[in-house]
Amino acid sequence: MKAIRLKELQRCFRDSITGNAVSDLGFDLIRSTPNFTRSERLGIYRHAYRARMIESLEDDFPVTRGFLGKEKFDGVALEYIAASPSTFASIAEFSRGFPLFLERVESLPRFLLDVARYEWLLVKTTNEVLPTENTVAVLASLSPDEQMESMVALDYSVTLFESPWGVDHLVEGSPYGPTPEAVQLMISPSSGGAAVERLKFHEWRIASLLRSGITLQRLSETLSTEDVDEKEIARIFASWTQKQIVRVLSKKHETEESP
Amino acid sequence: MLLEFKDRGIGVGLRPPHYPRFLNGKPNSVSWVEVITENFLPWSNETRIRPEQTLMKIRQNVPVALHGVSLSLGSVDPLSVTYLARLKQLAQTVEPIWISDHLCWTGTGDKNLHDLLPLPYTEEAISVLVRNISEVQKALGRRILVENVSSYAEFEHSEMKEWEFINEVVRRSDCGILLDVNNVFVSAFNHGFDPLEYLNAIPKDRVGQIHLAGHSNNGTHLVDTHDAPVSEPVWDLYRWVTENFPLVSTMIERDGKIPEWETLEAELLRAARIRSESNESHSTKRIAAVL
Repeated sequence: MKAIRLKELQRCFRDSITGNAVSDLGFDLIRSTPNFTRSERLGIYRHAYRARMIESLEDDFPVTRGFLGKEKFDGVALEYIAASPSTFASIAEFSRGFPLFLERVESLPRFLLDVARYEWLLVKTTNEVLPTENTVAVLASLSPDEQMESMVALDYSVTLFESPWGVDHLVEGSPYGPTPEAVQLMISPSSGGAAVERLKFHEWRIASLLRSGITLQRLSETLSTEDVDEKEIARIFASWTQKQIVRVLSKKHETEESP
Repeated sequence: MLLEFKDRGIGVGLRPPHYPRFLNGKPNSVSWVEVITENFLPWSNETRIRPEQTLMKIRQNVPVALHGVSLSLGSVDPLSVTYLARLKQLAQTVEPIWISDHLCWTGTGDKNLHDLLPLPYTEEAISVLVRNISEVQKALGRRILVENVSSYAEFEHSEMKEWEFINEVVRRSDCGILLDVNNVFVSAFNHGFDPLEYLNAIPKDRVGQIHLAGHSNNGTHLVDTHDAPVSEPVWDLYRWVTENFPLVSTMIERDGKIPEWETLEAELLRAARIRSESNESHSTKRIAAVL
């Protein structure tokens, strides 16, 4: 057998595993025995690659898979694997691009795209580090004036998600299937994985203002012009602070001392 | 035996279904655990992920070994600088008893096939492995263990046997060996060699850890599925290893169809019994030699 450089061997072998066809060169490189042929040997790697990647997607998108059915899901999964092969150290991260890929697949129902996005957010949030900063203590150490001038924001691990399809109930296994039900959700890490809260309109408004950071003073002023009750703002803010959904970006004196 | 890989007794491959047991303490049947490194490395654009928080709690109760699957030591491509930096950071945080990965490649051109792909047994492959293992050991400031993989393909242009290949890699890179006895058995079946010839050729003083695992028998070949109990022939091979090698830290590896803890523990206790019986046999022989 003619010697082949390792670089070319690995390229041929890789292409033979991931491609739709086995390269002749890749095939001939492999030793064959009567009971266990080249084709079978390479077939083990080809099958294992596809099975492993599909299983990873199935684990992260069980409800999407349930609505699509195994055959359709596996077909779309294989297209995704071919179009966007993993470049990640952890296979768990491979699911990241799948919801976006589904948007390019023709004839998928719109609600399913939201289900897939939501399922990925649950996976991502479950892997987020639990917040460790004690926001309550940080704010309690400040005077009332300093508190109002402090910049606060949603913790980076918290995600806001809205959908016209009631995806949270769909993923929980609603027997009614997809029905138009506009929801605005807050997804945050919890000790059990991810906590999902349906927000009322004014709660969504507060969360949206907190998303990129705002002083408490500015938050209060903005919401008062929108007729949101001050006591309700305080109640919501206290609750979210207690749950470490909100964090302090900077305190008043840190803001003043900044160049 | 290399000092940093001293015998620590029986361990287990720790998987999520059994995390609660180790968060609350440590079963008496286990002295250490091994986890899959990639499950605790930060994701893209993240500094830490929650599993690392879990691991640190487990670490308070039991020593941890980090076992990687994506270093791709056998790839002609340069090692991932990002991966190595994250591994180093994780090692500094977790302070593992040792770090290991595989004698294989997992992809090229930035693609990861998430599989342990076979290498030809050539001088060129040895050079690549030695280069990469040396770089990893330098970056981490410690020796690592490299594991023999099970394989379903061998290459026509290989220049030597697998065990000769491993010997050269280990000698030139000065690393340790994670000896997977099940992988030896699976590869021996698939490629038609004698597993004892393989084991006899392994440098005993370089073996720092042993894996025991299950496989699937497809008639014409075996597949290293890690989703079944350890088979009797592998137990026999393990007994042979304990009778012919110094005592080495040993663990059961189960990645699929993970059973209840009591079932897994029964296998751990069996491994412990075999070790104990072999140790008694060694002692008897030493005493007899003196007398």
